[in-house]
Formats: sequence, structure tokens, C-alpha cells
Amino acid sequence: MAILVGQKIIDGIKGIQTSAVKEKLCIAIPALIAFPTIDYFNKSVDEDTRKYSAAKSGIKVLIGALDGLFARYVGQMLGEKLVKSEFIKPISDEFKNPEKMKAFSKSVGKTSAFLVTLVSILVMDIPFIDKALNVAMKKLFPNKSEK
Amino acid sequence: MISKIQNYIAKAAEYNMRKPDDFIKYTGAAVNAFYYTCQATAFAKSKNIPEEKKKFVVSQEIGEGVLSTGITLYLASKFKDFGKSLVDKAKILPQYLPKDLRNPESVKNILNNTTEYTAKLTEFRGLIGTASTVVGIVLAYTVATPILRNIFANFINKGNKKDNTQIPTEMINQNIFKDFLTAPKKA
Repeated sequence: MAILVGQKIIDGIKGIQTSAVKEKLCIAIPALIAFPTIDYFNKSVDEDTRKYSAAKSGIKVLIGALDGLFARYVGQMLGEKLVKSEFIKPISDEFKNPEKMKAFSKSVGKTSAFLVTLVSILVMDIPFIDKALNVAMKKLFPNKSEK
Repeated sequence: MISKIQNYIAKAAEYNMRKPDDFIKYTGAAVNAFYYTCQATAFAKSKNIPEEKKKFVVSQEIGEGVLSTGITLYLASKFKDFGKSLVDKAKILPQYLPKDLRNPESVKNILNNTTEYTAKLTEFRGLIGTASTVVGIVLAYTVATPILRNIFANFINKGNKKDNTQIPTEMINQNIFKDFLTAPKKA
């Protein structure tokens, strides 16, 4: 008995192949669910701390995901513009026909999204995520001090 | 210089068109490795971590980075192959494939010869490879890395007899920024 895959799912997977934003969504959403859940069911600490750490890891993943999605969105757009303005052209002959240009443009978008992501890690994630996290946690749990 | 960069980007994009699953795998691992490298560098340069603890913290970060990048590559590769083998075994097939062709022999036949379904089924096999690669990366990030991190932290603690108190990365992180926010500015 085979699992049959419909056209909608096939198109969905094609979306992951052509868009860095969709790829990131597929990876970020499970993390957004998993990390707070793991923290919430951590039996070795009391309930108060559990709620706090679940909220904290949730917010941390959320900030990281939003930042990552933003970087990929900008990168994808940038890459597609670079192809449109003919700054980047295909090298191999097999991609030089007009039919493949759209796919090539999306592919360059994905590549530049990767590069922009690296830059965003350096200038956004490392210096600011923990700062943003601390600010958010202080607002949400004003009475709870860091141990 | 610029033409070289143009060339590299075009080459990477063409690689993505040929092997989208490998592209996702390698970029995912590269982002992960880069993140840990930056984090380790930030710790090494931080003035808020005492010198004697720095070696420990930085080596822990590097170790974690290597482990999690390795596990990402490993799981992504394994899942990709597994996904593609499911298509070969006719366990996952596209709906448009006629009923009488939904068996391993026919699938093998279609993939190896040129029939009206060859191009579409080859594409489908690649798509399943991509989807299963993403599943592998998700498992690496959400399940394998946290487990490995715990094992590694315990292991590195045993080796570090002088300092038995484990400092979780997050705590150090916060302290860096807490100190940064609250510390009076030095003249």
C-alpha cells in the first residue's frame, strides 16, 4: 500500500525548493513548538520555573525565527532583483533558455538569502537576541529576577 | 573581484537547481556552523567572562558547534536517502501515476527508461528527497542537538575537575548582556 501524494503537497515541496522563506518556516515552526514544550515538561524543576523557562525559550526561538525570516525575505528579493537587472546570469548553457530563467532567478534568490542570513547572524543574532530576550522577559515577568 | 562573486553566486544557484536537497543540507549546516563560530568568538572576546572560565566556555561552544553541525549533515543525508528509497520501493507515489504502475518494478522501469512519466517521476523523487532532507534537519535541530548538548555538557564537566559547576550557555549569554546593560560606564 503506497502513500499517494496530491498535487497540492507536490507544489508545497516545490515552494521549499525555490523559496528560502518557506524553507525557514518549515524548520522554524517545529522548533517553535518543540523547545517550549520540552522546557514545560522538564520535571526536574518546579512549576513556576518551568513556565518561566518555557516562555523564555519560546520567545527566544520566536525572535530568532522572525530575524531569520526577515533576512531570508530580504535576501530572496535581492537575489531575484540581481537576475532581473542581469547582474547575475547563468553560466551553464542548460540554464540559458528563457523557460529556465524564472527558476534560475528564484535559485539566485535562495543563494543570496543564504548570504544575507550569514550577515544577519553576525550583526543581528549574536549582539541583539539575548538583549531583546532580556527586555521581553522583564516585561512579561517583572517580579522574577534572573538566577 | 566583482565578476568572481557574480560567478560564485551563479554557480551556487545552478548547484541548487541541480541538487536542491544537497543545497538545503549544506546551507543549513553552514548557517549552524557560522552561528556557533560567531558565538564562540563573542565569548572569547567578552570582557565579562573571567579569563579562567573563558577556555572552558569557548571550547564548550566549539564542541557543541562541531557536534550539531555534524549531526545536521548526517541526519539530512540519511533522511534524504531514506525518502528517495521510499519512492523506489513504491511506498510514496504521486497521485497522477496510474494504478497499474504503482509497484516497485514499474517505478524502477519508469525511472531507468524513457517513458511518458519519467521526467515527472524523477522530479517527484527529487521533491521527496528535499522534503525528507528538511525533516532530517528539523529532527537534528529540535531533538538530536538538545540531547547531544546535554551529553556533551556532562562529558566536558567530568573532564574539567577543577571547575565542577556547569555554566549553561544561556546563563553566560544573559550575564554578558545584563552586565552590559547594568554596568556603570568606565571612564
